[in-house]
Amino acid sequence: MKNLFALLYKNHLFLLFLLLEILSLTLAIQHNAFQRSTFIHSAHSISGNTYDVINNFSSYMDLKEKNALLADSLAKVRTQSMFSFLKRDTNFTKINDTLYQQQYVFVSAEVLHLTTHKINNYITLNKGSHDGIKNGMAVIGTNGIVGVVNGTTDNYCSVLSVLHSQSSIPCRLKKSKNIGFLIWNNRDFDYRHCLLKDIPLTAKIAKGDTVVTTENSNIFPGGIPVGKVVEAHLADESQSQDVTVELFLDYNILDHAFIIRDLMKDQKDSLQIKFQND
Amino acid sequence: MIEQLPRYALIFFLLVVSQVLVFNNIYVGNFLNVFPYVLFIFILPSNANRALQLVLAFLIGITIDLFSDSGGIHAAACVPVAYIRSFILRTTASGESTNDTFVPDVYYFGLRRYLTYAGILMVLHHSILFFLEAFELGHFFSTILKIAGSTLMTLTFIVLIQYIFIKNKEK
Repeated sequence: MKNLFALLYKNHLFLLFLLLEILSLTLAIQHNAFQRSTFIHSAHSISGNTYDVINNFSSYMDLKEKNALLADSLAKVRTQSMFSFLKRDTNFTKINDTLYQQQYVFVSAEVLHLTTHKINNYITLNKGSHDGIKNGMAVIGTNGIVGVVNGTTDNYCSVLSVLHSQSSIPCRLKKSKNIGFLIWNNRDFDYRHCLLKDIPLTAKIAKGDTVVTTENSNIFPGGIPVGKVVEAHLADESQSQDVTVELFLDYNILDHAFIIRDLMKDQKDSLQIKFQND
Repeated sequence: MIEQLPRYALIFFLLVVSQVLVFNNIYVGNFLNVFPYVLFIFILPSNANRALQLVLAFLIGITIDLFSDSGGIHAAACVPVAYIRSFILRTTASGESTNDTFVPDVYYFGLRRYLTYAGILMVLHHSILFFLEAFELGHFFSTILKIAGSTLMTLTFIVLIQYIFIKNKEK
């Protein structure tokens, strides 16, 4: 026993080194494998609060561009709302409209921190579980998709960006209706372009065609514009083609995002679980 | 070492703040990063308790991780640097009487020998960091390019920081 302690003491530096190294490697691997279910991430209250304070100052720098973007999206919403439609038929009175039931609620959030230059990029937003944000919710920007919520604290949430090596979002070509998976080609860290994979060889691809989200994705609402087709080329190994997509959204100047709460997600999920169990 | 703790606490704080607020936002060619916070480990006095050095390196690494969404890869890169630093110190400073305690900065070593000392440790740090970040060997060549480029840039910044902020005591 005495010898054991002596041995331990003699090697205490190396043992401490091993301990710390294994601890940090575990944290790093968990972080990669489970999409940050650990506590070391920027939605943590310490770093979240710090980024909040910094953002308060730095958000003044580009107010002009932000206002222009917001005004644009406001104009779009106005054109689509009842406000801009002329009522042609006055014979009916609306009592209780059961034809439409609200499915999506948009929660506006400010971007506190984001990166575009890593292999795995994350975004921190200033809304958290107190605002009803949960893991797996979709996040979009004013003109494109941003990512999926993958970690929440009381007041902040972190988003697994489209620019992440494990992000794969089902998308559709608007004209030919073919479905593929949107993946970030991170070899050259080009944050304006993504690849749409698994498009069959028979699909006719038009340059400049819009890429939108699919209706049958469980995360994103259908029909949200993502980007436009730049070119198509044969995939390396399989009988399909890859389409290079130029994203509408410039992640580098992203500062506002909308988190989408799907009010019917529970119903859809419970159905799927039911069928899986059968 | 004890009497110098406040000084090193200040250096720790300033380096973390500058890394998080300034250097994390600098990237050349959209993928070369600079990590001058490693200077904290390089500049610890030569006689500092080695267990303490390991713990401090772990602390600064995990703090940077917390702010840059990287799990534990900075900590995993910093701990080995602190572990082998004393060997590198001994070999690089072999000309001097090694029993003296000294602060291994650019003035003590002179520029050329300092670049050897910091360069070896920096390559180690950046190699672990970027290979852990890539997490697969599929990015091998882009990772090697990243390591080389970032090492050069970080070295430049580290030397500049010392020339600007540390007074030369030997003059």
